[in-house]
Amino acid sequence: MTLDAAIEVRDLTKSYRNGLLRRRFEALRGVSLRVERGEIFGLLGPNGAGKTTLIKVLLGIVRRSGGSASLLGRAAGDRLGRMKVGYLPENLRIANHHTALTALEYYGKLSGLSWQEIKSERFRLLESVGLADRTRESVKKFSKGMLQRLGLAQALLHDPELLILDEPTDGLDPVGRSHVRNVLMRLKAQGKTIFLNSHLLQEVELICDRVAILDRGLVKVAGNVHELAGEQTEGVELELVVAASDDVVRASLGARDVASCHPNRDGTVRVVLQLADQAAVDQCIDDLRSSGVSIVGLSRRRVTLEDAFLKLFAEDARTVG
Amino acid sequence: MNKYLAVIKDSFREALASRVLWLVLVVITLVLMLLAPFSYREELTSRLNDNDVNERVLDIVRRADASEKPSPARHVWMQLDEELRDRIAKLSIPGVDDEPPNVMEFMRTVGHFRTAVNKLIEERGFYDEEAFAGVQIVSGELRDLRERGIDQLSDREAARFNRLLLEASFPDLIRTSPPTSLQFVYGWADLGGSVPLRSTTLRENMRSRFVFVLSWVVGPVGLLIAILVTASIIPQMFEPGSLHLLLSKPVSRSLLFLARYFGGCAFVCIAAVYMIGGVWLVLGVRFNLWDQKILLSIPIYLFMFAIYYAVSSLAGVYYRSTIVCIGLTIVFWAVCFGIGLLKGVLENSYWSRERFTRVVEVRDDLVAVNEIGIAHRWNPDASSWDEIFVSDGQKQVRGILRFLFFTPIVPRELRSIGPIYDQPSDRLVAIRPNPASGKAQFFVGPGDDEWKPAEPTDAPMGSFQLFREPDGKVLIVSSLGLYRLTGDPSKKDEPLKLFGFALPLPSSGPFEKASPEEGLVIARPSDAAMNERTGELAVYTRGTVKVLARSASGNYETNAEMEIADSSSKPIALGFAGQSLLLAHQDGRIQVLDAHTLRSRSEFSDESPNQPRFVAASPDGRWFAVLFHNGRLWTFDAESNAMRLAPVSGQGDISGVSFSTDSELFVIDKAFRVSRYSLDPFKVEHRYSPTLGFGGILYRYVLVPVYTMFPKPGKLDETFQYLLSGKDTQVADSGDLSIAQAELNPWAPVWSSALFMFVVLGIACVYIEWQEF
Repeated sequence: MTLDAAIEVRDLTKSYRNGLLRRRFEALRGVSLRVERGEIFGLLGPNGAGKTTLIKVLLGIVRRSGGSASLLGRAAGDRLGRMKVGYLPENLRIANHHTALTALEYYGKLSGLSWQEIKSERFRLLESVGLADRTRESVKKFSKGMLQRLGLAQALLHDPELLILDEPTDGLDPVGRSHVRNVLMRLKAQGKTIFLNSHLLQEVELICDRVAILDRGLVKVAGNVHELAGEQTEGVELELVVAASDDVVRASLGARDVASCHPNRDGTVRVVLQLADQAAVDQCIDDLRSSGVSIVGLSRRRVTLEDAFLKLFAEDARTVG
Repeated sequence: MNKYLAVIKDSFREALASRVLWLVLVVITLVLMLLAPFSYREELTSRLNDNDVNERVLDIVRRADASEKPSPARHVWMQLDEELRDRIAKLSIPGVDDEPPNVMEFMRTVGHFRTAVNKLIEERGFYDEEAFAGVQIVSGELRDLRERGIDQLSDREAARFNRLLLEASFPDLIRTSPPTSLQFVYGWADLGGSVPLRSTTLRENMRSRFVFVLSWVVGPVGLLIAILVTASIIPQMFEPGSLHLLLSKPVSRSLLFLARYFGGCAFVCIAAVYMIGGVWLVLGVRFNLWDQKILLSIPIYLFMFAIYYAVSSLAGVYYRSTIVCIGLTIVFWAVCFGIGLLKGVLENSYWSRERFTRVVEVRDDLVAVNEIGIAHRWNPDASSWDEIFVSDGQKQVRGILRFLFFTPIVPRELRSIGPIYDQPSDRLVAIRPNPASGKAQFFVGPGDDEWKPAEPTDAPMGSFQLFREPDGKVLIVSSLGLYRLTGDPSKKDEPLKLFGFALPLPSSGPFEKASPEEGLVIARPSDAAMNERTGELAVYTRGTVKVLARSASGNYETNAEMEIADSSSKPIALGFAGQSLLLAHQDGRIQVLDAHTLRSRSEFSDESPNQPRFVAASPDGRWFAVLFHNGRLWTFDAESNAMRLAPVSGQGDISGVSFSTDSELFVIDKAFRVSRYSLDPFKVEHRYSPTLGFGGILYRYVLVPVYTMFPKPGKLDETFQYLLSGKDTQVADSGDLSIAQAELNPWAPVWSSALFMFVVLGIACVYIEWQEF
């Protein structure tokens, strides 16, 4: 028997009516995607792309206008389905009268846990998110990062099968981010499914197996992170540091696509080249060496998800322009 | 269920985090600590307090200076010091002397006189057998003390004896007092002088004061604080970042909202239990008032809060702002208060004062008399009641009562007695107060002059009833005895003067004394009823019932007398016809006595503990009608010895009852509708139903329905009052059963407010379920 997908969305649409004139605004315009169990899935997109709306539909916070959406085999919004989901909202706010412990007790109870279950888990979880020494402190005194970590702890408290995290590392310092990253990797190792919505593309690239990029209510592209980066970049980008004059270097390179060529203070020259493939790289090195250019440093630049993302939207801007 | 209990617990946590709450708890604790040392001590009543002495006593005692004959007045006068006697002699007394009084001097002299008499009361040697020989002793307590002998009495008993002597000597002018008074103490210190109250009355008063404090002080202030503390609970749920997390949990939105709502209520419940429970303990420990019913105020207060909090919560769901929640709740309170006030003012200043209470047959016409005493003749052509026999004083009284819009009660001092129809002279007669002088005046309205009131004459002092004797003579019952109208009231008699002072002789003017030879003092609480066929008179005064009959000389003689156990300070309403005398007791008991032997024939308490208001008796002696303050009419059939709820329309809204000369029953309901019933069997013979004017239509068909459906959280004090007393009316301890009592409508505020609360919470739930956040 095959398990249902953790999340399955087909032709999902959602429209709102806004303002005095009740103008129709389409937040989702036919989104389709599938998140398998056990993977970490990243949802990317510029502001207003419809990422949070998609999460709200999945959790039943808003009703879909059309299409279908399911969570762990149950219709989106179904109460039993929600029991197996841990959710960390964007800009989480926990009421000031709580301490870390009472907040976990409150949200744990709402998730259907007994007092005994909460008691046995809450210290361990607070320790895992780095709040072990602040358990009885009022959340009034918590920084945004601490609140995010507490939010993550509450999302994990009832041991959910699926985690939906909306900007989980927002407001965290590098150490905090690393902490959260480690927690997520640990969860992945435990077979949990994580659905991540983030602006921080480096984070997504580091953590996620697959991503989807949403733009104006439509999935623009979806797939494996590395494939996606590869898809969006043609050829190889090569960075060289050579010991020769600027003229000699340019003469040696001939008609090749030089992205930049700048002399360094120590007399060397830094050159960035855009080449077609590995054979072109080999040929370029041979030509430089045969012209007597001494190669001080050589690196092949990796194309990041951010590069791919920017390129995708830059192309879009050009098309629109 | 656990999930929703967690939400309630969270609401508690949230409220406990509020500084206002802790401040309130500290204030409650301080109030309870301040209340705890209050207590009282019970002692025999002897002292005269501020309102115990009528200023006319000063006039009577100063007149005694000229008399050589020993009397209580002279005895008191002779024991006053010379300076005070001089001041009293020169004093101008309102209603007695024509010269306008110097108010400050008047107040000072009355105060000094009271202090001097209080000193006399404390003296064992005050009693002088010769001086008090002519005093008629009505009070059993005084009789007992006198029989024991002054030497055998303790100091306190002697002082009590002296006080009772003065009360008997100056009936109606020195207020009758209960046997015991209360001295209030705070810790070990006495607070002021003793107050003439029984401890049982105090406890009864404390119950009603508790209702007052709860409705007007603790209620509004406590509710405002409770709303301030809890208003944020709902809006906080809707804060972005908090709401989405809550909605992602496997919980029902409506139940989540309701759990937050009940969390706020439960929190207020704990504060109310602390406060009211604390007051209950103080009342129990310090005042021996262990009345569990007081604790009923906790659920009532909580219900009141729940109604306002429902409004606050709906505002919180929609606007998601604590300030808006508080603001709209205050607006809601103001609207409820405004509508209640509007209805109260309209009812109190018009409906309650103008409604009819009695019907008189005049020639072939029907005359209905309202609460103030203004007569209205039925106009069959216009289907209306037209005012007749109205005096200027009554118009002034009506004007004064317009300002007393906060109560439906017409004070005893402003009520008229009568009118009755003096058939042989074809005139209406009535006794009415003069609002300017405070004196009672006797009015006559001749039929041949369209019943216009003629120039009045002074009525006998302390008049309280008017009767028509079988031979057509008018009989006045007053606290000083019986008077018969024999002369021409329109003729002015010059008062008899002695040394320049006018003597207030009761037999002066057109009235002739008709009291028994031994005298008749009718001290309050009192009532009188006449058997219209035989002319026998039944009188009740301070626990004693007397039946008097007219002798050959024309004066009345006492034929039978009976003391009623434990009712010396309790009012009774009398009805007298045929062989039966009906006593309607304050506690709602109806006792039927044989009119000649005064033996009890039967007793009923079907409407108890509601108080009776009027008793009417059919001239043929078969029927008695007892109207209770709650507007329910009972009839007693002397033939079958059965009491039953009268099968008439308007039960619960009946304001008056009378019998016609041919023993048909007049019932007044809907304030101005008179129905005439034949009684065996009950059958409506005729209805006198006036056409409603614009104001009446607006009131009956707009204001009343709107008010009925509108929530009335401010009226829940009536529910509490009803639960405490078990009575349908707000009982005023006036000592006079005929004075109207404000009706309690205990369940209307409950159902209308509960309905409103369910609707408001329902709207909030539907909104939450459908709204996309």
